[in-house]
Amino acid sequence: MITVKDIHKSYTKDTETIKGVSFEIGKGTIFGLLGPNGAGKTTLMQIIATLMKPTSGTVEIAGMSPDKDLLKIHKLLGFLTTEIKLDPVSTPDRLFDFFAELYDIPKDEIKNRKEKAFARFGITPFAGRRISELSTGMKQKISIAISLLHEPPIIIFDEPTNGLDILTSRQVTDYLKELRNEGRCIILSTHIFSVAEELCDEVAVLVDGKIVAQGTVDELTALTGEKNFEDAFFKIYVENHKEDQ
Amino acid sequence: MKKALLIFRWELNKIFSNWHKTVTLFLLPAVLMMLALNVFPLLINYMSTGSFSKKPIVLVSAPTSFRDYVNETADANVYSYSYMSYGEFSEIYRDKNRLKDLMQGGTVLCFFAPGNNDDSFDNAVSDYYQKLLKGEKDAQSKAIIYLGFDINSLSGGLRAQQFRQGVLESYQNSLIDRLGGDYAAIGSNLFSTDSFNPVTKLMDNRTTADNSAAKIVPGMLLIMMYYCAYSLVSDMFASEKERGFWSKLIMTPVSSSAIFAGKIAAIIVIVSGATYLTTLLLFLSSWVNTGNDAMSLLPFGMMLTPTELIIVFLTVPFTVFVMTAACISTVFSLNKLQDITINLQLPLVLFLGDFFLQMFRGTRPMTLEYFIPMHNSLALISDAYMAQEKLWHVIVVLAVNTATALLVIRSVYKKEGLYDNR
Amino acid sequence: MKGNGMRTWFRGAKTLASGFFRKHGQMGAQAPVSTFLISVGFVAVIFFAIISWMWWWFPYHLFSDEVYDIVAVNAPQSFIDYNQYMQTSRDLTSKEYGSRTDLFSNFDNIIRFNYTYDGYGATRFIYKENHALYDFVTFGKWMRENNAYLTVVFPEDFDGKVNARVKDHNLEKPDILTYYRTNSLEYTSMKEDFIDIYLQGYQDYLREKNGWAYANVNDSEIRDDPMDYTGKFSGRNFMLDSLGRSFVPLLMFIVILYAAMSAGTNVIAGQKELGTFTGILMTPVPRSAIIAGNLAGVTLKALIPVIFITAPLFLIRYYRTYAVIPAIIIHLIILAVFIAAITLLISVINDTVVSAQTAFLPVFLILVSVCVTCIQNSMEREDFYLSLPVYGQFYGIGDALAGTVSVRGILISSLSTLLLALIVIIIAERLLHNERYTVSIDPVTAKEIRQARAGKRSAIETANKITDNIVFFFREILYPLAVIGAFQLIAIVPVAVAYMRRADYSQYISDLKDISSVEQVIRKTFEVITIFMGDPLFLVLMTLAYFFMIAACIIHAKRVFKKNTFTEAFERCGLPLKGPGKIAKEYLLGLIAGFIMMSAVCLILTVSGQIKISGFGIGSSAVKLFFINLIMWFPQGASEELLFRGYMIPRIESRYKMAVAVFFSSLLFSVFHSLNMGYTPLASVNLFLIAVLFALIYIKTGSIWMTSAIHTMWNLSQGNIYGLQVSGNEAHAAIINTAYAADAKDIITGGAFGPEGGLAVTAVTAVCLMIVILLIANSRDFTRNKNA
Repeated sequence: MITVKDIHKSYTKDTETIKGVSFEIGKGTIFGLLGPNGAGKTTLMQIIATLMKPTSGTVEIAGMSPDKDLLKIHKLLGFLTTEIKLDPVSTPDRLFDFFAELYDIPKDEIKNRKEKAFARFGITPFAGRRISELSTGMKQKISIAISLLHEPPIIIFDEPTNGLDILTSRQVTDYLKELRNEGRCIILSTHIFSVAEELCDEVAVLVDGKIVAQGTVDELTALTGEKNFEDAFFKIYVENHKEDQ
Repeated sequence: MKKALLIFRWELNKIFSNWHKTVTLFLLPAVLMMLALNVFPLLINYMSTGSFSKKPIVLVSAPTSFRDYVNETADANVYSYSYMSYGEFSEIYRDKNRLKDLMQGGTVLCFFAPGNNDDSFDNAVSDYYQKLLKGEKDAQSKAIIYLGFDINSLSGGLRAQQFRQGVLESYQNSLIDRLGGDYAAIGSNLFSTDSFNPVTKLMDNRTTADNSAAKIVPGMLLIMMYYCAYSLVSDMFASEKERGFWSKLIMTPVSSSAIFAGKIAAIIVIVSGATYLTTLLLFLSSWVNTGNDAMSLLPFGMMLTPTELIIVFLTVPFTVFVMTAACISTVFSLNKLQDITINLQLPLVLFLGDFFLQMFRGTRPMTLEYFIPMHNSLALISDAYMAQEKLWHVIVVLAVNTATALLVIRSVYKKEGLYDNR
Repeated sequence: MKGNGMRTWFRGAKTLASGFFRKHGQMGAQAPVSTFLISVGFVAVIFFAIISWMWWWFPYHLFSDEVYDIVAVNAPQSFIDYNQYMQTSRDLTSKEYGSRTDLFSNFDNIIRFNYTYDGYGATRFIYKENHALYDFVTFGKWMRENNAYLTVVFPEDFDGKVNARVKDHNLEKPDILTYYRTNSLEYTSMKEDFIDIYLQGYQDYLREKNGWAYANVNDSEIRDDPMDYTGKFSGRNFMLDSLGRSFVPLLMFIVILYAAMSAGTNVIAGQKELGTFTGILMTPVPRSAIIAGNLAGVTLKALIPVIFITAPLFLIRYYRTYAVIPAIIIHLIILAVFIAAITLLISVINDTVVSAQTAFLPVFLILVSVCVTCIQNSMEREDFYLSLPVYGQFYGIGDALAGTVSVRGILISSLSTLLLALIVIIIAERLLHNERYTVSIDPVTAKEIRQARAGKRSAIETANKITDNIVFFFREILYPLAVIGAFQLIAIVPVAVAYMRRADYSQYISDLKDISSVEQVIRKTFEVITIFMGDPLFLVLMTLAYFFMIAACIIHAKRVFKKNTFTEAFERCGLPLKGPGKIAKEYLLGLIAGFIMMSAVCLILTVSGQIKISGFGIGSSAVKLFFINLIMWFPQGASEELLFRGYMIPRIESRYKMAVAVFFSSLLFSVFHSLNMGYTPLASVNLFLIAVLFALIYIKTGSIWMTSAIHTMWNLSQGNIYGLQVSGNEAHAAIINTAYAADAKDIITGGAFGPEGGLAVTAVTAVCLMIVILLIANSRDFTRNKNA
C-alpha cells in the first residue's frame, strides 16, 4: 500500500533531517516507526501523509503518486497526531459533520457513521458540548473518530497513545488491532515499547534521519542478541548515533 | 468549488456562533472609531477651553442690531456669547494676566468699534445711511468690527475665521436692511441669493464635510480593514497551524486551493461587512454632528453620490483581499507564533502612519501611488470623497490589488511546499 | 531568612527580565519578505507625499469633468441682455486664458496657482422655464443634458419685483436660487464665484441701465486682529517647535506602545498559551517578582527602539539644549513603565496572545487619541496638564524639545504616572495571586457559596442585573421608535420631493425660511403632514410603510422569540392565522365596537353642544381620497397594535410580570402619540387609558385581531366619518362635516389634538375599561390566556 523510495528532506540548506529512507508496507499490517526524539519521525510521517513534499525521493500510496492524484490519496489516508488540537468553540457534532462533508460522504451515511463512532468512543453524551469544555482524553477520542470517519484503508498515527490514560490508550490499541484485522494498513510512530511490541507486525528504527534496522520485533531482538526489545533498541541506537550531529 | 463553499460556510458559522468574537470584530472597532471621532473634537475643545460644548465668543460693546441678529438667526446660535461693556474690557486689556485668562484656549474676541468714542456702533452705521440718503456721496463710516484671537492658538484662529464667515459677514450684510432706513430699498442689494434653499445648503455642507472626510475616513477604513483581516488571519491560519488543525484540513480530499479560497472568501466577506458598517456609522457620525465646531473631524452633512459610494464599497473587498494575502504570507513564512504576531502587527503601525500622513498632507495622490497595493485604496477612497474619482484609477487599483494578492498567495504555495493539485 | 527571600525575589525577577533579551538578538523577531515589502511601500508613500508637496501646483489639481455652462431658469429679459452685453468681454477672457484642457498653453496660470475659475470665458447660457422653483430633480436633469454645472433660478416677474423695490421702496427682495452639480466639490467654489462676481456685476448693470443710484455701500469693516500678547514665538523656529510639540512625541508614544505591546502580550499570555506559564508559577519565585521581572523586561524592550529614534533628533541644533536629554529620558522611562504595566495587566487577564493583543488595541487607540488631543499650543493649555499622567509626559517631551524644562512638572507627572502604574501592577499581581485568573475555569470561593446559600447576590451580580434590565428596556423602547420612524421617513421623502417639484408650492417652501423657534418647527411639521394627508401618493406610501412595519416586526419577532416558522412568529405576536372564522368574528366585532365607541364620543360632544354638524357627504373629488384613506387605516391600526401590544407585551412579559408589560407598553404608546400638535396633559392620560383598554382586550381575547379592528375603526370613524382630528392630524375626506361650536371647551373636545385630548374620550374609555375588566374578572381562565 505504501511505498517510500529514498526520501530526503532538508529544512535548511546545510542540515538534512531525513537522509534517504525507503520501505514498503503491505495490507493488513501495523508498521511501527521507532526512534528517539528528533530522529525525524514526525517529518517522515508528514511526508508520508503528503502534508509535506520531500526534497527528493518519491512516496507512492496505493500505487498513486501525490504529485498526480493527491486528492484521491487523501481519501485513502487517515492521519492523526496528538499535536492536533480541535477548534475550541465548535462541538464534536459540528466538527464531525464538517469533515464528513469535506470527505464527500452522503448525508444519511454521515448520521449513521457518526452514531456508530460516537457510541464506540463514548462521545455521544458530549456531542453538543464545546470542545474547550471537554477533557484531554475526550478530545483525543473525538480527534480519532474524526480522523477515521471516512474509513480509510491507510491510517497514519503519530504517537497515538501519547498523553492518554491507560484506559483510553487501551481503547485505542484495541481499536487499532480491530482495524488491522479489517485489512487496513496502519503506520504508527511511537516511543512506547510496550505499544510497539503489542501492536506492530513490523518495526523500523529511525536514528538521525536514517532507518538503521527493520523487521519484526522478535527479529530485531534476536538480531541484537538482547533479552527484550527495549534493550535491543538501546543497542541499535548507541551503535548508530553519532554525537557530532 | 463546492468544497470551498463548505469551508466558507464553516468559517462564517464559527465566527457567528461565538457572539463574543462577532461583536469584537464587527462592532467594537466601528463603535470605537465613531467614539474616537466624536470624542476627539470634544476633548480638544475641552483641553483648549475648559468646557465641552461652548464655543465662546466675547462680545465687547455689542450693538442692539447684533443681539437682534443673533436672536433671529439659527446659524448664529452655535456659539455661546458673553457680553461685555467697553469699560470692563479696557480694564482687562490693561492687565496682561487677565487678558491671558480671557483669551486662554481659543476664545474669539469681537469688538464693535463705532469710530467715535461717545457713539454706538449702530448709530455710526445708521448715521452713515442718513448721510447717503441726503445725498452726501462722500460719506464714510468709521464703524469697525475687530475680530481678536490669540495668534499662537490653532483653534482660536480657525474659530475666528469660522465665526467671521458664518456669522459676522452675514450680519454685516444685513446691516443695511436693519439700519439703512429708507436707503435700504435703494442701496441694499436688489435681490438676494439662496436666502432659503435647503438643497444647495445641504450641498454646501457636503463640500466641507467631504473635504475633511477625505482626510480622515480612508485611513480609518484602512486601519479597520487591516485590524480585522489580521485578527482573522491569525485566527484562521496562524492558530490553526499552531494547533495542527490546519494539517487535518489539508489531509482531507479537498485541494488546498479550495481551502485557501474558502477561508479567504470568509475573511473578505466578514471584514467587508464590518467595514461597510463602519462606513455607515461614520456617515451617521457626520449627520448627528449638528454642532459643527471648527475643530470637527467629520463636519455635518457628509454625502456621497451613488457612484462614489459604489467605488468606496467596491474598493473594500479588494483591499481586504490583498491585506489577507499579505498576512497569510507572513503566517506561512514564519514558524513561531510570537514572530508571526509581531510581524502581523507591524503594518498596523504603518497604516497608522499612513492615516496621519493622509490627514496632514493636503495634496492629492501622485499617479504612481495608485500602483502601491493597499495604499492605493486609501488614495482611491479619498478620491471618491473628494469627488475626484476617475475610472482608470478604479481599474488600476482593483487590478493591482487583485494581482498582488494572487501573486503573494502563489508564492506562499511555492514556499510552503504544498502539493499544488486541484 | 528574610534576606534570603529578598534574594530569591531579585534573582527570579532578574532571570525573567533578562529572558527578554536571551532568545534572539536585539530586536527579536524575524521579518518575512511581506513585512519588508509593506515597509518599503510605506516609505514610498512618504516619498510621494513629499514630492507632492514640492510639486503641489502640478496639474493634477485641475479636476476632471469640467463643465462650464449655466442653465438660467425663468431668466428675466434684463439678465439675457446682461449676458449678451458681457459676451464680448467673456470671449476676450476666454482667448487670454487659452484652452483649459491644453496644460501647456496655460502653464503660466498653473504655476501661479491660478487654477481657480477663470471668469466666464467659456460659459454658455441655456434658458429654460420652470415655475416650480425648488424642482431640483428637473434642474439636475437639465444640467446633465446641457453640460452645465449650475442652475440659476429666478422668481417670476423678477424685473417687475426689482423695479417695485427701487421705485416703491418695497423692502422685500426677490430671491434668486442656485443649484449645482453633485459630482464634484470644486463646483461649490465656482458657484460662490458666480454669485459674488457675476451676479454682483448683474446688479451693477441693472443699476446702471436703469439710472438708479450706484450704491457702493461700505457701512462697516471687519478687521482681523490677531493678538500676540506674549510675544513668545517671534523669532523662534516655528516649524521645529510645533514638530517638537506634536509629531515627535506622538511618534515616541506610538513606538513605545507598539514595542510594549509586542513584548508584553507575548510574555504571560503567550506562555499561558504554550502552557509554560504553569511551570513558572511552580518555581519558588514570588508572584510579585514574576510581575516585576516581566515589567522590567517589557520596559527595557519598549525603550530600545524609541531611543534609537530619539538619538538622531539631537543632530538638529534647535533641539540641542542642555536640560533636554535627561528630561526626555526620564519621561520616556516613566512612560514605558506605565505602558508596560498596562500590557502586563492585559497579558495576565488574557489566555492567548491574540486575545491579549485584541484587548490591547483599544488601549492603544485611546492613548493615541489622548496624544492627539495634546497636540496644541503650549499657550493654550492649563499648567496643571503638566502634572497629569500621560499628558505630563507628552507636554514634558514637547517642552523639553522646545528648550524649557519644568522640574516640578517632571516630578509630579512622573510620580502620578508611577502611582498609576503601581496600581495597575498591584491589580495584575493580585489577579495572578488569585489562581482563578490563571486557570481557565473560575473556581467558586467559599464566600460565594455562602452568599448563594443565603440567597444573597453579590454586588457585581446586582450591577449586572440592573444593567441588563436597563439595556432590555432601552432596546424595547428604541425598537418600535426605530421601526416606525424609519419607515415613515422613507414614505415621506418621495412625497416631499414631489411637492418640491410642484410650482404652486414654491411660495410655501420659500416661506419656510421664516421659521426660527422650535415651536414653529413643530407647527409647520404638522401643517406639512396635514397637507400630505390629503395627497393620495402619501397615503399609498404610508399604507405600504405600515405593511413593511408589520413585516419588519414579524421578522424581528421570529428571531427574538426563537420561532422556526413565520406562522409561529405571527401567532406569538397575537396574530394567530388559524381559524379564519374566529378571526373574522373577532375583527368584525372589533370594527363594530370601535364604531360604537367613537359614535358615543360624538354623541356626547353633539348633545353637550360642543360640535355642530354642518353637512353630509363628500365632494366627488374627495371620493378617491376617502377610499385610499379607508384602506390606509387598516394596516395602520394593525401595525401599531402589533408593535405596542402583540410584540411588546409578550416580549416584556417573558421577563417580568404581566402588569409591568401592560403598564410599560401603554406608557410608551401614550408618550409616542403625545408628540403631536395641540398636546394637552389630558391627551396623555387618555391615550394611556386607551392603551390599557387595548392591552386588556388583547389579554382577554389572546390575539390582537380585535384591537386592530377597534384601532382601525376608531381612527376611521373619527377622521373619515365624523371629520375630527386624529391625534392632532386633520382629516381630509369625511362623510359628516363637523365643526367645533363657537363656545366649545377644549377640555371636553380636546381642541386641536382631536377628541383624544378631551374629557369625552376619557368618559367613553373609562366605561369600556370597566366593561372589559368585569368581563375578565368573570371569566376564570384569564390568568394564562395570553397565548391561546
